[in-house]
Amino acid sequence: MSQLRESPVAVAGPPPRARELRRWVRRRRAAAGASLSLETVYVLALTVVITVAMVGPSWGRLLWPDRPAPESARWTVVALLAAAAVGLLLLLRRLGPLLLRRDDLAWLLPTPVPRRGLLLPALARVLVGAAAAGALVALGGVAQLAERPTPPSTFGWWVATGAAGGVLLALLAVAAQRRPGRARPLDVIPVVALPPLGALALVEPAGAVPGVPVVALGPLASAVLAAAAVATAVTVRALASFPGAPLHDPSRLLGSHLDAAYAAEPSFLPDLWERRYWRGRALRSRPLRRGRLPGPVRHDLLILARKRRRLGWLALAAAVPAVLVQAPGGTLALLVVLGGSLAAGTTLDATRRDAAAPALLRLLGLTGRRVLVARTVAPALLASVWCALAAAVLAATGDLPPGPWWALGLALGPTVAVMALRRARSGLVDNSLPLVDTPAGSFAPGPLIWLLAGVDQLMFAVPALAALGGLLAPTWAWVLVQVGLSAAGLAAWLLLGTDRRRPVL
Amino acid sequence: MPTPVVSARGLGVSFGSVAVLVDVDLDLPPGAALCLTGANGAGKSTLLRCVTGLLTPQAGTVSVFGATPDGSATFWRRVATTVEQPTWYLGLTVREHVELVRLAGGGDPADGHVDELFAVLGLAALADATPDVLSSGQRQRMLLAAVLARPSDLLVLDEPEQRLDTEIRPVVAGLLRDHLAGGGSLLLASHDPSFVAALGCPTLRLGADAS
Repeated sequence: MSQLRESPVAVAGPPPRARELRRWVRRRRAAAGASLSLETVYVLALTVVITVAMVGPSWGRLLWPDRPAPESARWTVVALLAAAAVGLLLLLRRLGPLLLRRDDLAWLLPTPVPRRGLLLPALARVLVGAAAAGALVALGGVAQLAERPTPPSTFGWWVATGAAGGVLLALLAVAAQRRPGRARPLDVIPVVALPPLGALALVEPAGAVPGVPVVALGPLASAVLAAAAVATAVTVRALASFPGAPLHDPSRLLGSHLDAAYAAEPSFLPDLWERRYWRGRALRSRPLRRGRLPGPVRHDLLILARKRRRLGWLALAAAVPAVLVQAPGGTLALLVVLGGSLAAGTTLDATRRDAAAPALLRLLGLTGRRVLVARTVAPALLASVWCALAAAVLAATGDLPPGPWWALGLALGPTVAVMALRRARSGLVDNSLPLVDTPAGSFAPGPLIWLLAGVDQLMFAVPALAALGGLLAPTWAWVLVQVGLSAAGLAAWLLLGTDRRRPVL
Repeated sequence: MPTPVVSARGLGVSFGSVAVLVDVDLDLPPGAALCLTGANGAGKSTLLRCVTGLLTPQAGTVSVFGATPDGSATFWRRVATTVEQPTWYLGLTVREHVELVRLAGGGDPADGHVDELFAVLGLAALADATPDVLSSGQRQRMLLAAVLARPSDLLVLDEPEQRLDTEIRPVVAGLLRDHLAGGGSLLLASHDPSFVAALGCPTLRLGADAS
């Protein structure tokens, strides 16, 4: 005889709707206490206000200049708009784009709750986000291409078209998420489209950009809006049979990022991204041979060979500073340092892992210094080549004063690599530090210190940064100064900042 | 009498109010093996961590090769251990990890030793896999392969038979006997009497029921 009054196979009735379940959960959570404190809201609002006050005016002028772009630069604008649309599609594909909170994923997805109700809020979030991004891209286009003064109707039609275009891209990404096997052609689009678009942006071909007649704007926008509406209706209808499997990975990824934000602990994100990069890749062992190169250098070279595709993207990204040559002062230097640091980071996962847990280093029996000397080779090479490439493209296409820019980039590379290596070694955020009181309230300095780890290395990059910041035109003597400073910074770090006795990073 | 490879006198370690090791003495002569046994929490891993310098005892002294274990690279070139579960390098296969350890230890990864280890430990089919997809038992085999791929005077192994299936345990015992036959020393902890018997080494029982 059963110990329970209800049969375990009894079917109670139709399942509740997702909306009702969510409301049920929300009520109980609210009873347990508010999830967002007033202090958090205040800090977030203050951060937004300070950021807008700091960069708002200069970026505002950049986004909505007094005059449209000159005739010669209009193809660049068109290429950038197309690249932004492709980038939005790429981003949506990377995000999911449909994703659930992890608790919904664990507790509601494997239940008989109707799938459409469960996924509708997620779809709405994606569509609103994509529409906003599309509108922003269109706004950028109008700002650069439309004559002044711009009629409100032109402005409105373009923004509406952009928003509807964003929605269409999001729906395309949702369809691809539903059937990943059929989505491969979609994922080829960025690979095929971005290189020629980048080239178009840099080359600035002669000839006028064919404009859209004002009278055609309304019908064009209406057609795109109608297409977006129909596609949305079809997608909403099909949500009822959306499979569960493609939701897991993006939802967990978002959850991990929210964890990092909530705990102010971004340090484990690089490892998370790296694990995602390697997951599912089939590798074939390549024999290591004895030779002059130390083991860790061979290891890094092997990783480089396996990340050929990423190296291709990095090479393409070397054109980004040249494309944004009109950006406010200091942005170019920042872009070159960031790009060089990204390039150096290609092989830095091993350093990050060894710094966090040196058990494998002990097995290798190598001192921290020997390992770091070896681990510096590939990042220094990558950062130097990337900075040299970026500076060369910048000099060839931008309005920079003549000079040996490529050599300056080459000389800057090792300093940027050391900065990236120091960041990779920085480990977890130190949340045990005392709070710092400021007139605007107190804040925990740990995340800020983590964020700035290694940045002080840039004091060895002053010549290159000054030149990229537009303060002076570089000469060969200036390049030599940068070479000396980079060498000094590298040597100082290896001598003073590494362990010459123990296998510890 | 030759200087012991490992010598501990009056060793004491406590975690809070729990005394894990109390007044422990041990000597491990060169070329010999010693197995630590005892119930869970008896202090086997703690003692191995003291011997490898990963933990400083609160009382007593430990010396390895006549010196306090200092965690230097020189120390780790003579001592290989599985006391810690290492994280693995992303983007390297199982075989490349083991070859890297052999190369860093001064050996030749292409001299066939790695092939032999993979064959006897049943890792040949997993050579191109990455460590993150291995089962816990397969990962234990890989760790043992890495430790045995490099030369070492002293092996410090924490439950090397752990998570291994019954067929492979005698194989591992055989590899450890080979290490001893080559002049190496072995200090290990184990819960498996048949594995210890296969090694044929003396035991030291730790914990409250130690005799």
